[in-house]
Amino acid sequence: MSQTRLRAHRPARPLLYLMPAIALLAIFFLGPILVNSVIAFTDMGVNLRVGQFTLLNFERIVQRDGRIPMVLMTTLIYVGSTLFLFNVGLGALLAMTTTAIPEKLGNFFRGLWLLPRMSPAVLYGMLWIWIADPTPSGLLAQVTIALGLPTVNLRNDYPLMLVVLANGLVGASFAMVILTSSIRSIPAHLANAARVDGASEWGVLRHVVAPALSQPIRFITIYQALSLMTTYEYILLITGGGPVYDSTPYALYIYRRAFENGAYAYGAALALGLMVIGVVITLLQWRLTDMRSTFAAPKIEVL
Amino acid sequence: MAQITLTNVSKSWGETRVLKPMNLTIEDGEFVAILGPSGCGKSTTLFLLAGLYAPSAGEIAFDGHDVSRVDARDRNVGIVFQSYALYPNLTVRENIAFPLRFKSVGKPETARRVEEAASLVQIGALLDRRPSQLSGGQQQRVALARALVKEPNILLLDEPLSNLDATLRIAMRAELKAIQKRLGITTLIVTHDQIEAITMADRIICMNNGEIAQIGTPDDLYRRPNNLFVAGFIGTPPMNRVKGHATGRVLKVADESFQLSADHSGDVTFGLRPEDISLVAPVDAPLSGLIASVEPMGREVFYTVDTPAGPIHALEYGETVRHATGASVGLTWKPELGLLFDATGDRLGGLHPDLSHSADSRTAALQPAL
Ligand SMILES: Nc1ncnc2c1ncn2[C@@H]1O[C@H](COP(=O)(O)OP(=O)(O)O)[C@@H](O)[C@H]1O
Ligand SMILES: [Mg+2]
Repeated sequence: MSQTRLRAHRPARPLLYLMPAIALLAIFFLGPILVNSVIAFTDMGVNLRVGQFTLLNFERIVQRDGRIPMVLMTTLIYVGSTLFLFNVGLGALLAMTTTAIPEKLGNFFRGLWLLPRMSPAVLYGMLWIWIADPTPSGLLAQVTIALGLPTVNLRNDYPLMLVVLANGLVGASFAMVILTSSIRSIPAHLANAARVDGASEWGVLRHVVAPALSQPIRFITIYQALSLMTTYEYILLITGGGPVYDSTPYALYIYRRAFENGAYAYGAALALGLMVIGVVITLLQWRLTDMRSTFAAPKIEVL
Repeated sequence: MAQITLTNVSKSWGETRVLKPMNLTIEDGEFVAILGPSGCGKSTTLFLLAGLYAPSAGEIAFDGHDVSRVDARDRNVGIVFQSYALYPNLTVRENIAFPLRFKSVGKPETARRVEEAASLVQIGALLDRRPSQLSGGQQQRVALARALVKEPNILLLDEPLSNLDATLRIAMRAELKAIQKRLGITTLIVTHDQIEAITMADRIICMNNGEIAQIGTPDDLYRRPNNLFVAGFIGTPPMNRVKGHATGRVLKVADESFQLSADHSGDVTFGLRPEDISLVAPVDAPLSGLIASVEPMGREVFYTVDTPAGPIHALEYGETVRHATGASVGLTWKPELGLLFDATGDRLGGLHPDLSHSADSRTAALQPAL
């Protein structure tokens, strides 16, 4: 008989295991926020020199910067329409249609929609510039000329619509992928039960599919709203935020103020504002949609 | 309430044929079980009746009306799925009321019928819970109430008891049967459990490999199986099956010879149920051997006897173990209980080996003259 000693259960050391994650968060997340917060209270410009600590940047945001109301409006339209029409609406539609058709065809379509996400942003931006180009070589111009319609200059006349389209067509694939798996995980016989109970195919969509999608849609809404508020790469590439500031949402405005005008400290103050807006929206949505209920208990016990 | 008729109904998924052409009639108010091993096409048959699958060929009729191309929602059938398929986002009350949403049933009427269906299956106290807060047995009752609330013409049950524990299963068997008799509703229950089929159903459809092996009362299937499949599938422990060869009136099994009640020639299988065998003294018994194992099972004792024809199982009722392992015993049975099947597995009706001549034929077998 071998001498096996029964060792009592000892709690693991959570701090030890979390250390790498905590370190990463501190260096790449908390650190920048701290630096940004400090810069926001200075008069730093392109020379990176701090002359004095001041509240002037905040006073400028609230009182003197006349572009702020318009930028906020642009942000609301841009985020709102991209989010609801494309990132959630089109994504859900794609998920539902590609799971309703034969599986191979569905996979093909989903693959197609994922392509722009996989291609480099610059290439995708160039594509849209070519589409919108008002000269006879542009795609849209070729179509309008062939149909005998007047040419439109999308980048000049409808810049916001153009950036919503460009962002939305890429953004829809996120919801498409998540919602496809949600639809797939609906027990097969639930739809059959509804059919026997008297539901039409629309009824199945409404009573079986829609309820299964509501939780993931809440998550997608929160996640995509934040991501749309803070990213601007396609806008910068396609319209550059113009003409003038017509297609400049808040995040791009920060960039333009900081790096086009060289007002680093002012940009930092604006960025702090964006952070506050983001936190407020997240907390609001957390409360309104009962996100906590979607969290599952941990599968392994560490503490 | 409805009579169901299937005429040459078959089903294929692409190239694979899951159901071979099937003919059958189920009478109004009948309780019929579809019994067969896993994957033989029981659920497929049920879903064809529900209208969830369209038949590849043939006609399904309710009360003489062809419903083959009628949508599931217009067939007025109630179905309980094996997984219960309750709507997770709805309460028990809303689940049961769900089918009534699609009928012109007013609010007070809906409430009354939900209460009625719920009390029929005894879940009146659970109406405000969600499916995730119910045990398997309770979910099964909710699914049954949801199927019954619309007063369907036909009730279809797909292995409704298979996810319940043994005690609950026995209780639910009796309860389901009582509900069916009370409502008089034409009911089909799918099961792979023969006890379930035998205890509940008026008639059993025994299926194998996408075709009907036999339709009949539980007694028909047990005592007069049409073929070896039914003979082997029905009954626990299963029927003893021994290969032999018939020439004229003589049946040879291993080294033993038996007299046949009629002429037959060719390879045959001899079948005998364990409980039909009596263990006696080896002298004068048609077959004898040594006891290889003894398993007392409470009410009965299960013996395995090594005979020249191979191992034979025998059941003796009573608690006492009367024979020890290694003892030499004789096996005897009422001749008409021994069944013979031909080379293709079909039963040879009216043909049994006769025991009275066995002593002669055994001596005859020792003298190679015969
Ligand atoms: N949708 C389907 N597509 C292809 N094959 C199927 C489908 N449904 C069932 N089958 C096949 O049909 C056979 C019978 O299935 P089923 O009726 O579910 O069996 P049972 O209920 O008797 O266990 C199985 O071999 C199964 O693989
Ligand atoms: Mg099945």
